[in-house]
Amino acid sequence: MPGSVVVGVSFAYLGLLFAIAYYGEKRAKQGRSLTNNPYIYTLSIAVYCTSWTFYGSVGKAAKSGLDFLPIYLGPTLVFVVWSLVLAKIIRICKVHRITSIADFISSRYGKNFALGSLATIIAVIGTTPYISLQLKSIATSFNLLAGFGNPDFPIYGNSFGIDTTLIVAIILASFAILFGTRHIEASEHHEGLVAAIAFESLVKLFAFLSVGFFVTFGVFDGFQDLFYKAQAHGLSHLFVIDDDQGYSQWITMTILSMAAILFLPRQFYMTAVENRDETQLRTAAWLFPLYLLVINIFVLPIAIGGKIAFAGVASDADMFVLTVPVHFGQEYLALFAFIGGMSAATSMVIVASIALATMVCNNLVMPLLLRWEWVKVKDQGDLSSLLLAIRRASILIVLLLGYGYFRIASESYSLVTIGLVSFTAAAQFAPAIIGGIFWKGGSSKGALTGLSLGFLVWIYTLLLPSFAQSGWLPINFISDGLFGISFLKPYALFGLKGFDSLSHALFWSMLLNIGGYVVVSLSGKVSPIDRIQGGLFVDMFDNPLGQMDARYWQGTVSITSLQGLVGRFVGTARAERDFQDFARLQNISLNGDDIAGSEMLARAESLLSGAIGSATARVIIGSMIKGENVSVNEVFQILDETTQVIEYSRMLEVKSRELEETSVKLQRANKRLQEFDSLKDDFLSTVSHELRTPLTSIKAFSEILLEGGGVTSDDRHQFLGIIIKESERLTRLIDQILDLAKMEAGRMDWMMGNVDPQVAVKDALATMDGLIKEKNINLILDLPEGIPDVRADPDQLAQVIINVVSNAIKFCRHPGGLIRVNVSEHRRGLLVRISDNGDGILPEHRDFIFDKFHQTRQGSNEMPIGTGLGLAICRQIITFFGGLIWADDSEDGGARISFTIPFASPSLKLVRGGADK
Amino acid sequence: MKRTGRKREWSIALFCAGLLFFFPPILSIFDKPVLVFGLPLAYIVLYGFWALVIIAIAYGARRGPVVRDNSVSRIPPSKYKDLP
Repeated sequence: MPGSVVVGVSFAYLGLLFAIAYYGEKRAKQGRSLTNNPYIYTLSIAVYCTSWTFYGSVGKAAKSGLDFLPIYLGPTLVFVVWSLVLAKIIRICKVHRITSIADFISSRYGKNFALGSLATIIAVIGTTPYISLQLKSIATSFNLLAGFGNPDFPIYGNSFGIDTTLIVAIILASFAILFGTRHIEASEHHEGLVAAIAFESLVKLFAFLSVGFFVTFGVFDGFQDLFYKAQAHGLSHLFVIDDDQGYSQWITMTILSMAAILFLPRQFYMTAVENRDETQLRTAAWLFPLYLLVINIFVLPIAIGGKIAFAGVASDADMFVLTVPVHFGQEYLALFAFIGGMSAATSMVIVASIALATMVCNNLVMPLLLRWEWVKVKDQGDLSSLLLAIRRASILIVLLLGYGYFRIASESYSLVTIGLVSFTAAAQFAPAIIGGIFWKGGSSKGALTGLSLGFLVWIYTLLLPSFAQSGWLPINFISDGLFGISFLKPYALFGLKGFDSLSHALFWSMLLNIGGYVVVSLSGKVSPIDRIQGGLFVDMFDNPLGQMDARYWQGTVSITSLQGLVGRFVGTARAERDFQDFARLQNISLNGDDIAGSEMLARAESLLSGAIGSATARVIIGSMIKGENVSVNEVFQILDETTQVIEYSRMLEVKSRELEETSVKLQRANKRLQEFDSLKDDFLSTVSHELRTPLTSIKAFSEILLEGGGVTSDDRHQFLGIIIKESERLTRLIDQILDLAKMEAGRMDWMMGNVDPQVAVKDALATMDGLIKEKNINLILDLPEGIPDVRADPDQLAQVIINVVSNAIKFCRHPGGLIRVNVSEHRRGLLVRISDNGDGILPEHRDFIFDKFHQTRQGSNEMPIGTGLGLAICRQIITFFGGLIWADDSEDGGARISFTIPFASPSLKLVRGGADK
Repeated sequence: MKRTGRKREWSIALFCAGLLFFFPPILSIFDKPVLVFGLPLAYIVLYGFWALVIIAIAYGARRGPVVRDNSVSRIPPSKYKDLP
């Protein structure tokens, strides 16, 4: 086939790719996203299938049978546990606005610059062989197709006087630059790029399936015919995995591919960074393994077809996908296969170079520029063009590195071998990341140690030998070891033999990587910032978006200068638009001279993170606010933690104080309850005692009368008199108890009204007349005329006077008893004093005589008969009238009870409560 | 299989089963250069089991009541557990 046709078709294909990418971008700008669905997402992850899959798998299968499969079984197994690992990584990337795998590691371990740059270096160097593999496959397939049947065609095709591979590299670089670095993306995704990659995944799938169908059903008569013929040709050793070399490489490749699907920089970029919606993972989880299965169905048939077709002829098995159709005269099918292979290679190169360029810019160059202060954050000037320039240069450098490795080393290796070297490098990220999202104890020093050791071992056991085999290093480096020390043979390090070079390298690098990570993490102290980030990453699904740390930005920077700062990285127009959107969303006015609030600062940091990575963004915002550099970052992180702790402890304090107050109140209430309880007990026991005394005498005399014998008529009369008296006492007692209970409960019916004290006192004393005369007591009444009315219940007032006077009578048991009743006006109202010359009250009893059931027992005197409730009732009544009642000594040597009642005049109305009837 | 709400456990179990099946010694049982129904035994078994694993993933990944989103707004339990 003429080279010009191949070149023309290639360019037409690349042009189509441009068109699709452009259309994708346009649709995204119109808000009608083309790529925001799970099927496009799945196809974009299928960037995993590179020319390694397209050409290399067939080459591998032609050599050793089913050995090519682990590279696809490993990812399938990883997708089995997608909800554990992938979902977590994607959520973390979204929340922390991670831009690359190096950013992820740096962010997890305290936004550590050294770690981010080391990861970047590992990613770049580790990916270089892989990129060279793609370039090699494109160049080889191009030369093969254009030069088929022309034995003089040079292996490095010369087009326009330049190496074809270099031209391919430059074209791919320009594509990546055009669609990966058009502008700095702060929050959006590269829609055009994703659309183009998804399209490429379809092309390579259909191209490969077409060749497979042709071989299986065109050349042979279906699968069975193909396999029977293979058996007949003595190719049944291709039906198995174990071709006399054991399973060590099978296991190694499975493990490597499991790491690769997660940690290859381009894979991480497509799966996690470019993910639009976490729920799309649900579909991709099974659809992507299915894609892998389908694209692999025809690998073995094509390999067998090639082996049979080129039996006995020297041929490159890696190119069977092309050469078999050509061999059977299907040139157009071969051309389609060539396009498929090119799509597989270009998609990988483009995505990988963009992912790597982002890393180089965000985690290596920008931090260095900021640190060395070559770029002054506070200076004016647009920095987004600087960022873009760095990224574009990085893309070019990455591709040139790949080209360089291709020229140096790739001639002597098959596609799969080169690819596995890259896989082993990517696997070095596994301990730091898997450890980082499941183990809070991992420290930045541990990760740094593990990564460095693993990377060094990888260089020594895989990269340097590949240089040696291609003559760039003396070949005896492999056979004799470094400086001829056999102990240091790169394929048998420390004398470890019996493994293939890949398993050997994986074993040593992982041993030192994991060992270094774990041991250093465990033995060192975890810094606060490590701990905070570790907590955020490990507890991703437990934390409310993990954004709490942004709240604490506080600064004195105006909105204008903040917007200016962001604008310098993401472009002025974009920054302005975003700030206005944010202001509208938050319902705040965007007054340029105002101080930016903490939400605004967090938003700005978030915008910057999407553009230049989280670590750099934090440094920049921190320095903008405080005018200081890197350490501000850490200070703020620590502040975040302490602020939270303080907040929680303050809440705790408040709660405990409230609790204390409540408990004091409770104690007080409890004490009162206890008092009431004991009062009630006292009351009950006294009442029952008081009731029993008269009952007992009633019962005793009744029994005597019932027996009847020897009881005289006089006795009977006397006994009956006692019974009646005791019954009356009992009735009185019960009445009083009821009255008192009513009064205390506030249910007494008071008949309040204006009462003339003269009438009231006279009436009350009149009822006592008989008793006074009976006891032969002299009553002296001092009752002046013209005393104003008092406000009282007349019956109850009489009751008070009767109670007090009868009390006085009781204690006047000696001959010549004297009772004075003195009524006068007082500033508190009516003052009534009732004194006697009886026993008197000891001063220590004066406070208690108004208590219920208090009965003074003095000396050896016989106890006066009483209920003990009289004075208690008096106090209740007087208190209700708004007066006072008290006891003191009388001038006659006995006791004196005095009480006051307010007058009825309006100005002195002190009556509390009660119904005015 | 019922909806047990324990998909994570199931996925880990399936992962282990996959490793067990795709690794020796089980691998070596069917890794023989013979044709069954005109197809290599290892080819049938590997692709067949692979397909079964994919079906199992699809079965587990269908939208169920166990949605992760509820965890977004949950307060970290450790922070508030001491408060009444």
